Amino acid sequence: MTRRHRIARSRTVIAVLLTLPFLYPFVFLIQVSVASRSSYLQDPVGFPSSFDFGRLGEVWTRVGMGKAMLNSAIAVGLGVVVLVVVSSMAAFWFHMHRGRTARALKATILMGMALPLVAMVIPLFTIFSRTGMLNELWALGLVYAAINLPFGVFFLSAYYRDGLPVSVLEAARVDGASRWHEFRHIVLPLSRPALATLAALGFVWTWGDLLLSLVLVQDPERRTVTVSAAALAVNRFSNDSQVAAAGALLALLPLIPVFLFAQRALQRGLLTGATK
Amino acid sequence: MSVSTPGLPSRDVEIEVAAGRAPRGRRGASVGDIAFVLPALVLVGFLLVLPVATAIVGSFRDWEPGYSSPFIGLDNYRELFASPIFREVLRNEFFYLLGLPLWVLLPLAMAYLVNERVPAASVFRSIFFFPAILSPAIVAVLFVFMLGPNGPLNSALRAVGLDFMAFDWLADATVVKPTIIVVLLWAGLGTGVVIFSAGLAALPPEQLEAARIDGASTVQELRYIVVPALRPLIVLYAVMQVINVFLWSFPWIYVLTAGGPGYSSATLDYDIYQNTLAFSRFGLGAAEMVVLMAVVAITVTVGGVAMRLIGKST
Repeated sequence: MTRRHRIARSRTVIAVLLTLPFLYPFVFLIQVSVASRSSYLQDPVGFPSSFDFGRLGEVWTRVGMGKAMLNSAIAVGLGVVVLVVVSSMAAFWFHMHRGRTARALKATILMGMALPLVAMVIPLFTIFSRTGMLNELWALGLVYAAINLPFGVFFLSAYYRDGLPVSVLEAARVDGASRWHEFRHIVLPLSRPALATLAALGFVWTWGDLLLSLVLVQDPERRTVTVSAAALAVNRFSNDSQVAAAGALLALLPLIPVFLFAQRALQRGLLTGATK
Repeated sequence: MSVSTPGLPSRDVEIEVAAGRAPRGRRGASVGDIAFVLPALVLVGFLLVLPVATAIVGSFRDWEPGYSSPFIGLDNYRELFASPIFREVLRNEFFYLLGLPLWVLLPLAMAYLVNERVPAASVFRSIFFFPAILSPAIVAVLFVFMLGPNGPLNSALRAVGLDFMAFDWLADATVVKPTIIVVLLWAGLGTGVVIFSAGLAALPPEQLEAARIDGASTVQELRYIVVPALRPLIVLYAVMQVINVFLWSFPWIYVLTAGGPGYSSATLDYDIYQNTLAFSRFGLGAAEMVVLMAVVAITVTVGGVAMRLIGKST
């Protein structure tokens, strides 16, 4: 066996061993959520001797994870749609305008990427309580759109810069196309992959939000998924570990299809964020 | 751009003329056109700029939402800097930054390990990447289980006779901060692997091939070829990690430790949350927000300068 083969084989072994700490916590989470009560009490760590799948349904209905999923779907869904529409329009405008005002506006928006969330959400809490926007899922959705908007503008600007020559658009203009027509029929179709990437990133980032919805939605009926699942785990008084595990498991489930179908896109998005 | 082709006035000019104004030349924006950027400006203005301005103004007030909040000059800042809790929280932040070499070098080494020469490299990368897209708060719940006093980690340690190492990882002030560093490593590693893998893929393969023919060991290859070649990317990723600690630690602290025991694991954002929403000290919290924003601004500036310097030297 050549040295190179030996290296490749030992690397593969090391790589397989390194995946264990990344896989086992999920196995453990599933195991705790579906073990029967008696099996879990007897041995909380070992593989369960008997199962109780009913707990998942119970957490969905009685504990309210189902309702929380719906709340999250409303806020996150609105947030993603607004994010994609508004940032694609703005990035297009910045693509066509490079004057001093436009550059200053863009710089202001991009500064939002380095904004501590907490410095925004606490003042928003006071503003929302005055204007009656507290506890409103649509308001939370708009906040979701706003916090990711700086990244959206940044990401799509980079995409337009590489893939959307101004000369093409100028040509369309000469043919008498209006800005809206240009945007609808040239820019949007050409940027579909980038928009999908942005939507996927926006989804995973806001589905996992804790701080914003914890502060801006106080009504237990309108709690989002992450807040509900975290509440089950941090409530150290009525702590039922198995219910907490089941809640966490349900909260993660919607991210699995997004990961499976959009993994490449998500990685591309992060790379643009890191290297442009 | 209002005038695109000489002799062929564009629509924008017509609109501006129709609106009774002189065209402002090619840099000017027209009325219909501004609608593209207006929604973004409204969202950012109302939901990002206004809150930040409110925080800055509030830091100079005895801020109590719903009541008259008189200006008190720098009193909030004085109280903040005199507070032993604030100092402990700042020290915590700097302790977490000790994790930086680990957060940067381990993903780099793993990206190198799982490069194209390992079969099914993309499967490995996917496994490492999966946690990076999950909700931090939920991953934190996962670690509350894994690191509990009788959780799998301690059971494993006891099973191999290392009882003395079976700490209460998240409730023992001596180990809680290193524990959080490792949790953050676990959660962020996949992003680093993806970023560094892309950097490695862009390296000319002959470079590594030549080193191997010369009999370089894996560590030597990493030390003398990979690290220097990826230096700009490494600096960039390090800056991202520093910013992450300041910007995104809230969900981890909230779920893992609630800042405890005592304040031994609290971060600035968690402390701001507590000062305002738990203790109703909005003025003090606002001053803390300003400090946090200043720290982030300094980090970004220093990081930007470092990146430019390193970009020049390579």
